[in-house]
Amino acid sequence: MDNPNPSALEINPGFNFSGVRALLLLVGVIALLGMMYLTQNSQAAMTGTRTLELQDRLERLRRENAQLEYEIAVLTTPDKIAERARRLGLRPATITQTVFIAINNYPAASKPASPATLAPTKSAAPMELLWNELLARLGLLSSGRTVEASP
Amino acid sequence: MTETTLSRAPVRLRAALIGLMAVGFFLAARLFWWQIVEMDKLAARQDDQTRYYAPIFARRGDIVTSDGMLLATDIFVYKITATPKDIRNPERVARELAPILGQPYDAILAKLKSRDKNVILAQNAPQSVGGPAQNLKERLGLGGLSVEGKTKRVYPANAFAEHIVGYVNVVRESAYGVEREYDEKLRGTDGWISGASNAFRDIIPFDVPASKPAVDGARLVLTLHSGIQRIAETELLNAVRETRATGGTIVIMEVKTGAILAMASSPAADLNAFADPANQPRYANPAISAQYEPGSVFKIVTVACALEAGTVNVHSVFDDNGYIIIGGRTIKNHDDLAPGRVTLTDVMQMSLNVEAAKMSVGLGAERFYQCLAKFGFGAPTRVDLAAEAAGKVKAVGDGEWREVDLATNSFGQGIAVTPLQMIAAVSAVANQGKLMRPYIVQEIQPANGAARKTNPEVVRAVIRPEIAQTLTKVLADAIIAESTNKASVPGYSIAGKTGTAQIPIAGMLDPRWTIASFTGYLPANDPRYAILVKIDKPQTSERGSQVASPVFASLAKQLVSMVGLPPDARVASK
Repeated sequence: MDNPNPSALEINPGFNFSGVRALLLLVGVIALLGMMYLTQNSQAAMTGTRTLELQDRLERLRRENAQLEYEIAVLTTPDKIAERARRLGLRPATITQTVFIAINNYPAASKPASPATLAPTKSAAPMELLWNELLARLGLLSSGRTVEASP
Repeated sequence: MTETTLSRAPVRLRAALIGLMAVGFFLAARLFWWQIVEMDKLAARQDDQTRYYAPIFARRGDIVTSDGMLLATDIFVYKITATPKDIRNPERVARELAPILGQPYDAILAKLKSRDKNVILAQNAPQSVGGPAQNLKERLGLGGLSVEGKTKRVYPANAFAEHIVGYVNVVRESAYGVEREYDEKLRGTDGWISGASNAFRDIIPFDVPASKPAVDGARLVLTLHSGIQRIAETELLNAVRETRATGGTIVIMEVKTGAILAMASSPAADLNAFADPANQPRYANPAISAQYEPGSVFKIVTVACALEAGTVNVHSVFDDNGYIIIGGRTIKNHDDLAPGRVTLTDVMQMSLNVEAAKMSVGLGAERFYQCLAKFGFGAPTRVDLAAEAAGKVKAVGDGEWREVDLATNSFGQGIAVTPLQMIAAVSAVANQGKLMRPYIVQEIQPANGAARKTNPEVVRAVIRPEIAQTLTKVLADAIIAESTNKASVPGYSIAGKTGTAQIPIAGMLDPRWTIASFTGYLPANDPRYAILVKIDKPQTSERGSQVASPVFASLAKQLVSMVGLPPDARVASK
């Protein structure tokens, strides 16, 4: 029998290459989208992990900070500071040991410090802050609180 | 046969059909039950099994003094539990946990190998235990170990300023003081974190977990100064011990603002030990809730009312024969004094009940009680502390009031006040006649948002400034004239008055005990600080001048040193 279509193994002239290309393109696009989706998910998961780690760290620091603040407060109660000061040989100044120097036209001379302002100012040096705090807690501040002469 | 089968077939078919329909109906009903009726419950169960949800606890706001001393704060404590069947290598876990928990290896191992579903390894463990335990859980991937943290309220200074602070119990309910009054502000809002969970209920980060951060409660800055408060507490403790009294109260207030610098009462209790039933009666704040008859301190108010009404003046001379009969009852001076002609200063110096009674009678009941109301008696001061009492002032026509009350009330008997009402009223005299609302919170600092300061509030002007100045001079002169007065502070002018009040018991006055007090302010020429000292049932002496005045003087000496208040030699040299 003669082969009715001798070129059957050859490319069918009616075969649509553009259809295959479109299919491949579609597969490629889907693959790309899939990759993007996976990458995005992976990124989200990584970000989630990192967020969790940071939140966890933040929470732990917050808790540790709370504990430290408490421990500092326990160690600096007025009674504890007074006890340590007594051991250092300090004692509260009596009223007769307090010397007030009146300075004319000096505003502070007629206006004593409000108790709220007895807290040390931020501009003072750390050691001075500590010392002032100690004195204030012990009621010793007056000995160093005489009105200073102004020029 | 065939006919029979055929004839029976529809019956069987019908039966089968009915059976199938019944089964179908039953299945549909069950489906409806689970899918519709029980939908929410099942969804919740599914969610519970696959969703991770953990609260982020908000810290209750700190309470600090004006000079920054921490009075109340929140820390985290931990409950550490294990599920033995999920611990694969109990020996290793026990070995690692032993030094963290501070427990013997064998004891932990026994718990981890027990047949119980869950075992408790530690409760209320501090951060120093909970933190490392959590680290161990993560390092070894211990799904069977649970480390749960929660907040706990703690009071670093124990009983310091306890009546002001109040407390929060284990179920986070507040009681007394600032804790109760500012509960909403202090409370904060818990946050949460949510996501997919694994079999051990640990979060799986499939994506960014949903979360809402916790908002901590507001920080409260009190007007209280730790140094002044300590002086007050120490002096009170010493006074109660030395006079063998049952208790007492000291309040120190800034007269121009109403800011409370110290408020101490005895007995006091550790705020961390609120679970002890014996401590419970000690948490109420006597300075705002204990009502007492103030005694002669109240003459300051009576004289102020009489001066304001113009029924007496600073030049008035009184003829005191030692008694007066009011409403059929005889009123006498203490110690049965009959001093004859006396001035207003003498009335205060000798604390003459008869002259005080004449003044209130001279004013008349209506004007007298109106004046007391203006001074704030019979109503709460509106201080920002929980559980404040109003005191009790009998009113004409209320069924309880008798004519003699007009006389006895003038020298502080038959009338109930709180220490805070008393010091607020005396502070009004010191503050040019302006009654200030006492306050304890100076500033509220929210975690998010701007801080809010408390502005001093004038309640009302109760007497004219010139009357207030006159009365201050009378009080200061009375103290100077009284050579034995133990309230004096060298170099400083003091205005004030002692009080020795009997205690009413079951329709009569207690013959044995008194309440000894002194309320005064300094310096008299420009008053800044008012101090109230009240000692309950002292045994060494019944008199305020012997028991309370020395405490006032000691407090005042330390106070002026602490705040740097120079002597007012002008008045003191008189």
